[in-house]
Amino acid sequence: MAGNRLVPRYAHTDGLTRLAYTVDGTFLLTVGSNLVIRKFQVGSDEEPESIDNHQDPITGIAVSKTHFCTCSEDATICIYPINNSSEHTLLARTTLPVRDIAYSIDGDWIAIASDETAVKLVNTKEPTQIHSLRPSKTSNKHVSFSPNEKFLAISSCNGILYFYDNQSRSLLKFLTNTILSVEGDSDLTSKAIWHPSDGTFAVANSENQVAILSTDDWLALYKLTPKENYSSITDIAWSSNGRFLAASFRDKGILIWDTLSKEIVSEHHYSNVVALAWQPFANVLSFTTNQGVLYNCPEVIPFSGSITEADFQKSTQLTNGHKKRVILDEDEEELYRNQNTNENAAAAADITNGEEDFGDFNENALDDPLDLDGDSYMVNEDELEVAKKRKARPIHGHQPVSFEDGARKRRLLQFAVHKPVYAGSTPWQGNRRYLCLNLVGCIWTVQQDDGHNTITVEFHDESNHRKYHFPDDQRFELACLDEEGALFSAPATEQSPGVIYYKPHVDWSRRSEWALMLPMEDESPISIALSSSVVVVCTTSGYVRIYSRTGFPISIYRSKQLPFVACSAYKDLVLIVANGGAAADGTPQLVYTIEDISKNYVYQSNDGLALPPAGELLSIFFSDVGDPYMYDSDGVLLALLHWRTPGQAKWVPVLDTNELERRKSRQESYWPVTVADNQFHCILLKGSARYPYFPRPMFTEFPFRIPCTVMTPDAPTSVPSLEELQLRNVILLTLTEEAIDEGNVSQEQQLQVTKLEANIDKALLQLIQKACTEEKLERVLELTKSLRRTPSILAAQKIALHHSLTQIAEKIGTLLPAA
Amino acid sequence: MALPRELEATFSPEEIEFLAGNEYIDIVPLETMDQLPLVSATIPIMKPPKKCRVPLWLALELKRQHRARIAPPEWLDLSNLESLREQEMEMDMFSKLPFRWLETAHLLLNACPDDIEDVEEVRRILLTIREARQSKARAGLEAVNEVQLALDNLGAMEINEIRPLFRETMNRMRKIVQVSEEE
Repeated sequence: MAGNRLVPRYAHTDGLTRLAYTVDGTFLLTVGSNLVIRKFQVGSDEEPESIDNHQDPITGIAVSKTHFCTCSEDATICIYPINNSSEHTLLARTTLPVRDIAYSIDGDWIAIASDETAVKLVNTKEPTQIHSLRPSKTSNKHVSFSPNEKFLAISSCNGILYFYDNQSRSLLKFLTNTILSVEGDSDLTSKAIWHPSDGTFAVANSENQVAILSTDDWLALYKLTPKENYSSITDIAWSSNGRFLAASFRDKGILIWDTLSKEIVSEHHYSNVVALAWQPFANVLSFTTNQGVLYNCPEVIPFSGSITEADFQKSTQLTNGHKKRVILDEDEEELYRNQNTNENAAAAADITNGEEDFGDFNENALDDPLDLDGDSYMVNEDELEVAKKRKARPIHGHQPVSFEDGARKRRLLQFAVHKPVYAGSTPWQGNRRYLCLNLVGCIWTVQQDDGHNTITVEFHDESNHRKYHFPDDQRFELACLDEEGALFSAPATEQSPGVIYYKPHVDWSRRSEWALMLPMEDESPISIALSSSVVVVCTTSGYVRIYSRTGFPISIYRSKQLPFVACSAYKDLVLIVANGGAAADGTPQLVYTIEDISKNYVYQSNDGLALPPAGELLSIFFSDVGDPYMYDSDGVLLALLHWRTPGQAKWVPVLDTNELERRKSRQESYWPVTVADNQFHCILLKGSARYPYFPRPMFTEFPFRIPCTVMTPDAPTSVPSLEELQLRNVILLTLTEEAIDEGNVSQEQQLQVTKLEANIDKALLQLIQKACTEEKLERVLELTKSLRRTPSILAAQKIALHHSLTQIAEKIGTLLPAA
Repeated sequence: MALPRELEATFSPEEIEFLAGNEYIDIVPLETMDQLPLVSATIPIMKPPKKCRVPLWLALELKRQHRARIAPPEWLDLSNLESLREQEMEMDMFSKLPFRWLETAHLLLNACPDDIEDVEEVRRILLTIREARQSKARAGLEAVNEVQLALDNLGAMEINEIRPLFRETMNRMRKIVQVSEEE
């Protein structure tokens, strides 16, 4: 049972949803009732590509090596090439809603099952070639081709399973009493799910069991029984090597059997699962519910002595490099390359031998028994040193590593590295991305067809600066924008070193723009920052390079902690965040350093960044008055207090977006921009959108609300609200007081301090009033002790006397400073 | 008064629209603008990209001059309108819409369709809601008696539409009842 929390992907709206992996396992396609096809990239958390084509809910999807095909209730069948999904061709039309389609193994024919009584076979290259099969007088629900290219199975709504010969198109056999008789739009399955290699097929029979029948004698070889109370099978799927079979039950969830032992090896509880798909050659099961939600469950079967990673590898020889590349990314591939040939050859040898004792598998094939997780890379003792030196794989949505399972012998430390955080920037959305989005304006780049990009710099305040754009050959990846100018940087390529380029908005001296190359070879900037006096560049070589705004180097040092995560700057202050090793449970820890460049003083050196448990950093920035704030993946905004004193810094939550009133009624997320005027500026993202949209997103501001008491929005004078108000003002006061330079207090700052103190006392007095009415004497005294100003203490005394609490009034009197 | 006959009994739609201009709405200014002390209210300093709360008439004027963008009010969004439409279809009562919904929606849809998401769909839904309410108002008018007519949640423009008929009817009924009581 996977202990990981599965992150649902919202793919469609309520209704029947279907999914399919492409043959090579790079994409996962889902279709559903909201008329779009979503194409998810396997292994990435990016927003899926959406293809909008049909007019009615889409009911089926089938994939071939190069194309995929969808069918819908609008009675059309369309095919799309996998690589360029915006192109599509209408393959065929029926007269009634289509329920299921299937590609033949060679990809030349598509079988269409619809509410019509005929099953049509259409040639994909020449759609005019159509064969019609009429197995029964009822509509048909499912079609499937057998992998050995011999049979076409048709499940009709009358409960009979028909088998046609693939070549001659003649009826070979029909089976009654094998499948249930279901309506065309039911979510129960009556499909014959073929085993990937051995010519058997699985069906859901009337006793809620999965029966596996063979095509030799058309009798059940064996039956897999689910647990008690499991009924209504909605889908069945074989794993790619045919060893495991997963079945989903409408109300109960998913059960997975090991067909060798006929035992249940895994169960997952989710309700309303309607479709399943195994990721090709991986221990990952994806499934969708009829709420339109997609779940990807990695390591759906827990590994144990007899089940290892190798059991999911392909059973025939394939070029290792190619096969691995589609599932992993480059860093893992490096690590794999050494072990690939050994491991796969052994896997091949063993699995193709029919009666293999899988318990012996490891000893035969490899030097050391390896316990592996489908998501991590393989490391054995020798490789451990090598692995430490290579750049470990950065992770998306980090999951904590668990150590309890005794069967995971010698599980080695998984080096999870926090990936760099770019505040204000988004990944590519189509051919555009934001490079910097803040209160001054936004910078975005558009990828043009002939290899260069166009960068546009736009301002929110059009009266000061006009927007401009320029062509960019250097492909800038990072940018920063402030009132005076914009800073860009590009990574190092084979032809050119890393570049930093600064462009002022108003060029009064004609040549104030400058560009410089990073001196070391292969040195690319990871993170850049711009403030009113400095330019900060953190590079892949581990250096922090600080330049002035006119481009001359002020300072350079190598960071004690690597790799870098983020950097930010405000006037002379520079904040650098880097990875600081792993916590006890394997989650990455981040550290930060705050330095004043002009005074050459380090305020905080490698102090810990307070991430939530199993969370990651989404944004870190300075507010408009120079206090650091961070926003994490739990949706909490935290301010850094007491950072000017080494060792005293604390991260205090000032806003929890999960508590916001508006969050309760809708699904929203908040993309952080900055903090100004003690308000959190962010962009509201509706639904499952993760990044701001084009063209001009609107900002929303939220005032702070410390998550210390239960939120009562309708009662601003209730006790919890007052308590929160009081605490909020205390925190704001702390921030203000610390910003005051001793001996150089400005009028405005003084005013601010007084105002905040007055607010605190006002809230406290209201609380004292309430406590007096309830005669909570201890509390009254405690609250009075927290009052900041003498007149307030007198006021508290008066309140106590008003309530005839003379005892308390006297005690308050002793608190007054000697007159 | 020297009003034409038609206007003596009730307001004209343009007048109602004019009155709706005083309602506050959020805008996103595109330029920094100074404070504007007016008679009814002082318009605060506007600094992009911060939102600013101004009267609708000013918002429309600024939008016309391309100096601000309008942030559509909360109730004018697709999902909210869809649920209101469902309510309108199912219930006999009028669903809860802001008092000046029709005028405000009309003004906004004309002035800033580019600031509203799915503007065509919104237009369609508003039309459906308006028609449903109109038919309900017509049916509800039949229940008028000399003392009261209770039609909750009716919008300003809608009240204005039935005002002449309702006023006359109620007056006459009152007179009739009065006469019959005297006897």
